[in-house]
Amino acid sequence: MADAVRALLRDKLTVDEAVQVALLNTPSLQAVYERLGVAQADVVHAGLLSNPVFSLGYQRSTTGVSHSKTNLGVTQDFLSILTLAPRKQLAGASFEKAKLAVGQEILRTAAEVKAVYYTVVGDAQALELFRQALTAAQAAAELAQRQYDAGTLSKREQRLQQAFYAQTLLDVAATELQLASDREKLNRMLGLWGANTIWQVPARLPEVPASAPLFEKLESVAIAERLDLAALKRERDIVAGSLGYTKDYRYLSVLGIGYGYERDILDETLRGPTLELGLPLFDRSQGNIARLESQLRETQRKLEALAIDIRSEAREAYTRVLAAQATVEHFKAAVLPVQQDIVNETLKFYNGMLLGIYDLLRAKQDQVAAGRDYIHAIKRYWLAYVDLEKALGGRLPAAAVTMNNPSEPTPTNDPIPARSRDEPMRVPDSGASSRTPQDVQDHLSHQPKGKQP
Amino acid sequence: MNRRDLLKSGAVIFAGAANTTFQSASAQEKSAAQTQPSLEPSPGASYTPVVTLNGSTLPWKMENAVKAFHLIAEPVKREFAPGMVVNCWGYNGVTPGPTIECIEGDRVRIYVTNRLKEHTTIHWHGIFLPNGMDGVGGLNQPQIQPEETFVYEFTLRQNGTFLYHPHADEMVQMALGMYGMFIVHPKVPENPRIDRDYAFILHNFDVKAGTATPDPSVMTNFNMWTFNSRVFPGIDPLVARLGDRVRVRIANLSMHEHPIHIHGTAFEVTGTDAGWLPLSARYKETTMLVPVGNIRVGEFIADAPGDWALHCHKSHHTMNAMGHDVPNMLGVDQREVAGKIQSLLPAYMAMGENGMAEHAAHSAMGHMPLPENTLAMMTGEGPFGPIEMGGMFTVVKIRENLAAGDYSDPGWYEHPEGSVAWKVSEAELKRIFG
Repeated sequence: MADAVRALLRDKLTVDEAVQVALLNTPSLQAVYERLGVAQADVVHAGLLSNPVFSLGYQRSTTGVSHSKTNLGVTQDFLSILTLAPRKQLAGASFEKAKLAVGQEILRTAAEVKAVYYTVVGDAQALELFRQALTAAQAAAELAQRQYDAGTLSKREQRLQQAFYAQTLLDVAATELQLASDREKLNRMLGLWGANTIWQVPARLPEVPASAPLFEKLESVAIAERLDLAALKRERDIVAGSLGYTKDYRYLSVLGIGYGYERDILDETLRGPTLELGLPLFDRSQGNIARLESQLRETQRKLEALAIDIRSEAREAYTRVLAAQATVEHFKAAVLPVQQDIVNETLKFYNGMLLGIYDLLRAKQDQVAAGRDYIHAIKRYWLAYVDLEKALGGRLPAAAVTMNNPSEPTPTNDPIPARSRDEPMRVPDSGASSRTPQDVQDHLSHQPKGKQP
Repeated sequence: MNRRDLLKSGAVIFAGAANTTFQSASAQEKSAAQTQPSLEPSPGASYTPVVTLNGSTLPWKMENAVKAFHLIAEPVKREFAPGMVVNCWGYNGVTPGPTIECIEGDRVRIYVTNRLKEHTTIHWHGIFLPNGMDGVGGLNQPQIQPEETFVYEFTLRQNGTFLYHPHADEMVQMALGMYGMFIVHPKVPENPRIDRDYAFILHNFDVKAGTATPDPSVMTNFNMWTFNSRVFPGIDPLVARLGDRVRVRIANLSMHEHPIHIHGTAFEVTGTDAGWLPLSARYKETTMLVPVGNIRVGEFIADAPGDWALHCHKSHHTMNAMGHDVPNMLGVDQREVAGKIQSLLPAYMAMGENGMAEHAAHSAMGHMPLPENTLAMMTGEGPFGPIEMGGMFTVVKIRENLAAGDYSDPGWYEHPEGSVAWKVSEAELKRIFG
């Protein structure tokens, strides 16, 4: 496992590799997987019969006649035998629900990792550009010093240039600190320490596609794919199953069959079967049924509310992606070319001795500022993209893949690739899920392709 | 409109942002900017006709016994020097307007057609005439509206050097280049005879770097200083034959006085816009000061052959557009910093440490692109190297063997052997001075 992680960290870390490292390596995520282990025990328990109850009694006559009665009985809660099959099914559904909840947690973590990853790359790229502004400020401060030395600039003017340089140094240092902080955040999310923290990322964020990605039926995809919705559906199915089970068995509260042995004072032995039967005179499980019916209604409403939220999240996330793409396009088409023209034209004015070197350096600094805004706009695009993936349940529809630039890394490395898409509204039996607990464990520990040490 | 559409609609403007078209001068404009031949005097008259530097003389038609002239006030394009074309206003397609040349006693009838988009008039600076012909709009006459033609008519009862210019929206129209000379020769031929008679008008424009239209709201802070709406290296030479009596008539319509300095000889100041100085009042100087709104006439005998500089002695008037707030880099060692700046701006060149000559050299060699429609501050190539001038600078070329009416540029002077300043070695210097 450690080798796998080291192999992933070796070359420049891509966004998918970062997610893989997180899934393999983060202790907090390992804790989440353990929940699946706990749920598995529930299944085993439900599959067992309830323990028989052993009773022993000794009665002694108080009237002096030596008389004792011993009864020994073994009763079996046969209800549990009869209800074994439904109980096993319900426990299976609980396991499925736990699995989906864990799956949702994994997706949430993957999205967070991607967001921090893009932040690190974007911040590093912007910092490189910021250093050009620092060079310009440094050049201006040096020139001012030399002008002062030659007697062509007042101390006041020289100090003004120096102040600007000093401030720029502070700003660059703050940016470097932010980058270090973001790197540590990623280290935490990836569970890395020691030698493993020297990973490098690519120098540039991936290119934003030239035209806005086009998705159809986004809401349907979200409804079909979102794990939290599927988990809530499971919960609803569980409650419905409980309700059905309770309704079916409401006339049976106690059913006991046993064997009794009695030896009385006259030393006669009485043996024979015993039968207990509860009579549903008063309690026909009305309370339970009403409770479960109300719970079912509540879960159904929760399901509807979540579905509405999911549709809205999908729409909002898509709108943000489109807006971010348009912003990046605007930078490329309008802002950056105009800034380059300004620098070029200012150089011409400098050549004609119509403007001075400080005006030229300032034009360069303005260009750098616009360049940094551009990089942050690209970063915001990718953050919006990650949010869209999350809103749609972890993977964008196939239509999106063809719209992308082929050279761009496809953001579709699904952390749970073989996830089944169960039909909604059907009460699952344990055979419907194509993934056993063992499958999940196998996936989570599998070696990533092509990265053998 | 949502945010995306808003950004997309903006993109159209940016995609289509073409440069404004700075045309170089057309062939016609280029030829109009050269000194045209003077007009022959009318039969019976005897004067040396005036030569308008980088300009022309206005032909006339005889209408009975009246000389009829036609001036058309209109927008024009003027090449100040190759590489800079300016949107001016002028007369008959040019600025300065063509010179009106008459004889004292002539009755003149001047038809003025207005092709500007605002009203105009013409004032005849220095000429004594009926009040209603004086041309001050609103005071002496209704203004000439666009597309209208007015007639001025008067008899010339003076001789000398005069000027014409608008007197309606005067500051703007003069700032845009509307002026011309008005020369009146005496009835009696002059004695001594004038062999070469040159005329030009001093003016100033503010054509900001990278633009093509003068800014009329500037009061004194101009950047282009012109002889007849031209700047060095675009001003034609004053050509004279050895021994010629040369007369130079200079009018000043600019907002500053100009000390016009001549090399190799001296002016004798002989006239103003109010007449000729009596002989005993004439004085000599090498630098003839022409105050604002004044005309000065200076004469000299061309007794020294060669190429003699003639220029305004205000050194910033012999520069083309300059920046005034550039940092002073004299004596500043920029070498180490230059490398840093070049890492940001590869085309950058450090300048100014040892003066501005290297700037002139670089821009002459085409290394350093300048803003559009902008001339280098110091420029011009002479036979020995860069002349490094601009603005109000030209050359008086005196040659021995020149035909009488030949005003064409004779090329550079061929110096006799041993008459050019020569270089000596360190050793030679030591030999003499130890």
